[in-house]
Amino acid sequence: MTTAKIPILEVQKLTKYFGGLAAVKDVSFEVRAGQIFGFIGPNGAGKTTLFSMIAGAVRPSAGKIRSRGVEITGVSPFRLVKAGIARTHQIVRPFREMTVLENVQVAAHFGRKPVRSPSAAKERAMQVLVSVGLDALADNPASILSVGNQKRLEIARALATTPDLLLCDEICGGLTHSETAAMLQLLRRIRDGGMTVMYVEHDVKAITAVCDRILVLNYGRKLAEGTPDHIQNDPAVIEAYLGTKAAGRS
Amino acid sequence: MTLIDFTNLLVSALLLAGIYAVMSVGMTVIYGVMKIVNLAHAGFMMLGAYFALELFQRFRIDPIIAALLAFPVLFFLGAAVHWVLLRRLPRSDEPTLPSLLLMFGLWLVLQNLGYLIWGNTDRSIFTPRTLSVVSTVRLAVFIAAVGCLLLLEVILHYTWFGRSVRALIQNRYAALLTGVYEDRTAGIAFGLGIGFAGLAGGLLGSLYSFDPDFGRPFLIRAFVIIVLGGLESISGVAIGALVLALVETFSILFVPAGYQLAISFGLLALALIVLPGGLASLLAKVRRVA
Amino acid sequence: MSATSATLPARRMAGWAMTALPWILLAILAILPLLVPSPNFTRLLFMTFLWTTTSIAWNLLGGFAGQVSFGFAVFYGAGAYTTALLMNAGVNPLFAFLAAGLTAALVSLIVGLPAFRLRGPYFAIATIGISEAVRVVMTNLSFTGGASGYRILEHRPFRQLEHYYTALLLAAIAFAISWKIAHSKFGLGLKAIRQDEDAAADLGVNPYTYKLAAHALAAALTGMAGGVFARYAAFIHPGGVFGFHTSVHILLMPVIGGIGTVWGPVLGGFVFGIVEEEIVASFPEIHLLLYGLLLIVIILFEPGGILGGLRKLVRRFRDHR
Repeated sequence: MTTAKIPILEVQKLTKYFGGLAAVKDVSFEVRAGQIFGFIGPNGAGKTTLFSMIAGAVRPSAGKIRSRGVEITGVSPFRLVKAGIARTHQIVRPFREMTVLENVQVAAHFGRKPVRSPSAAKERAMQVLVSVGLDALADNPASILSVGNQKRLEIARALATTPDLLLCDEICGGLTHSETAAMLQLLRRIRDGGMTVMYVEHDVKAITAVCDRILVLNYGRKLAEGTPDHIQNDPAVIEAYLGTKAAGRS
Repeated sequence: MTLIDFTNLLVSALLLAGIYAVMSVGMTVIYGVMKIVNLAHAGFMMLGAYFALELFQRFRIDPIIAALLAFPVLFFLGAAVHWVLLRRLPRSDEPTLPSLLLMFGLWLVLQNLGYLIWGNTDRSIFTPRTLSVVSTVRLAVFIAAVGCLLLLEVILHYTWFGRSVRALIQNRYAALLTGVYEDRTAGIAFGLGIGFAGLAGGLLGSLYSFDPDFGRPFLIRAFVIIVLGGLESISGVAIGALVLALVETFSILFVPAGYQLAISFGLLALALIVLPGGLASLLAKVRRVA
Repeated sequence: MSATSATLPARRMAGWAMTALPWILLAILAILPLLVPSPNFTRLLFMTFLWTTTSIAWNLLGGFAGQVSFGFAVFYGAGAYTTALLMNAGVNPLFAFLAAGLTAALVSLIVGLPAFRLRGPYFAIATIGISEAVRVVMTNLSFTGGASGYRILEHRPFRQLEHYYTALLLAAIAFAISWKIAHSKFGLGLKAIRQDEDAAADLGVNPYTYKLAAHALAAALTGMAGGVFARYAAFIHPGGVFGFHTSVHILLMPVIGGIGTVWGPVLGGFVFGIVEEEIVASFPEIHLLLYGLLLIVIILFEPGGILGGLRKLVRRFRDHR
């Protein structure tokens, strides 16, 4: 397959200044289809800024982002959805006055393969809810869901836009151990279903458990990139981030 | 146009800018702290004008002094309005539909109370100064306006309340974390904004004739100014006021007087299209390039 | 479980009643002027239909999409003047009404194109700005008679029922559009924008074009109502159709009835139409004062309007049983 050679996401020398301060500086990487690709980095390393630029929420100061060879730098979020890129929010943003099903129905209506008829959109939304395990709560108002379920709803909405690339922003933040494990299992299932996942998380353990490839950021710059094993043994990463204890454990 | 004409227009634009700034600064403070567009601003300006008129007619108090007295009175009125009405609105980082409708309702109430109390005839404040050759009224109004703006600057930069206000404007969440008491700060800020509306109304009342619908054209101007100024910036208000005053004053040369409001609106539309962040963002951009 | 299955037939019946209700209402209103042949009563209903049309229109933008406009008089007036000018040029009234809708929709773009590009209060501010600016221009414009107004000379005899059915048809169309939107993809997109514009965009909704479309549609309906009014009144002036109070009335009705719902604006339109035309018109000095107070009271105590209050009552009644 020739298309597999073109990366689903290609980031080149991406840079963002806030005032005079570089939050992200000259970061380049590629994401291959079918992977779970993660970012880690200490607080303030620029993860969120990098994520927001890729998701179209923040315009880069310099650099390029391409998806399957098509430039998507600075493209607005709703166009990214049509190009097959969907995101979740770290702080969940459900439509509070809608039911869980209606929330996902919006995504089915307006996603990459838009559905016109409400009944067809409902049907697709229901399928997605089943796949993330929220079908029993479909008719409840979105505002009464637990944190864990609101995070699932974020994923369900993104999935219902039928993306190729799913951008997940700290979907395990604030979850319990078992909820985190279930969420990571869901991510693997999504990848095994043929989707690519880009995943930002504060929790290093979660990232290393689930990701095929990891990018480490420090002070807005790329520090290292590679498989979880490779990252965990990289002396620069250990020095900057994981600390000696983590090195001893691995 | 001779140099003298030009200088005259320039001076009157400057004098106008002072009062425009007073009129708009209250709106900016209220928007910055509470994210509420004070649609009732015009109503409070009208109250300020009638307050000055009543003091002048009943007690022979100088209209400029009366306008300055309108400030504390409307301050307490504003704080009371905040206590009774605005406190009950859900908080938001964006102007909400209920807040817009509530302030609009308040404007209707104020304006029509004005009609009930004072009727719909035009009123004006005449003093010996009004007819003097050199427009001393304008100068006095300007001095009062600029004095109050400087006072506001001092308050905002050197008092606990001022720091709370600036903190809330910059980042509400962080301000709350550091112990800013939002309800009280918002109440004072709203009072302050309304106080400035009253002052502006009183000052404008000694320049122009007015009726209970008096503030409406000025409301549009205040919108133009705060949009030009970037909504939340107090120095932006000064620049916006100057720009609007210059445009209005010099447009007299080209456009019939009846269309002044249309010019204001044109400026508003222009600001929306080319300067979404207000003039301040333009300056910032120029600085970054330089 | 058994409780829900017991209420299921009742709920289905309620659903059926809600589908039938508009048709029953339409039938009653269609024969009402024949049963009560009073010109005053017919006029009252005629005006109520026009108000209801504008109420439904405002709700498309303000209720569904959450964008508050204080300037619907611009569309009402633009429609009225378009109709007046065209009819005096000999154009058939029906085409004049359609042109009125089109003109109003075009005018809506003048405000919407710049203002919707920005977040925050810009749109609401711009609507106040343009309505003032337009009224000032129309007051000074000589070829429409300026402030003294403009007269329509229609050579056909005046038949009140013709006007009545035109207004009823327009209101019915407005209702059908509103109902259709509430149950469609478009409506769901608008509701998503109202609740969280960024989240909506992240799911593929284009907030800009959606808001523009809702604004244009609302403007077109309002403009046509203005046109139908102009033909009936045969005389229009800027202080009336472009007047500030016209904008106030149009936004007040959906707020009274229940913002963001299908039936709320209809309810609000009828209540307002009857109150305004019959009672309040006798106290012109205080009617805006009353409306201002009403607005404050509704926003603070019953943001759902009459419909929201009724729903609460029904729920309380059901729970007590």
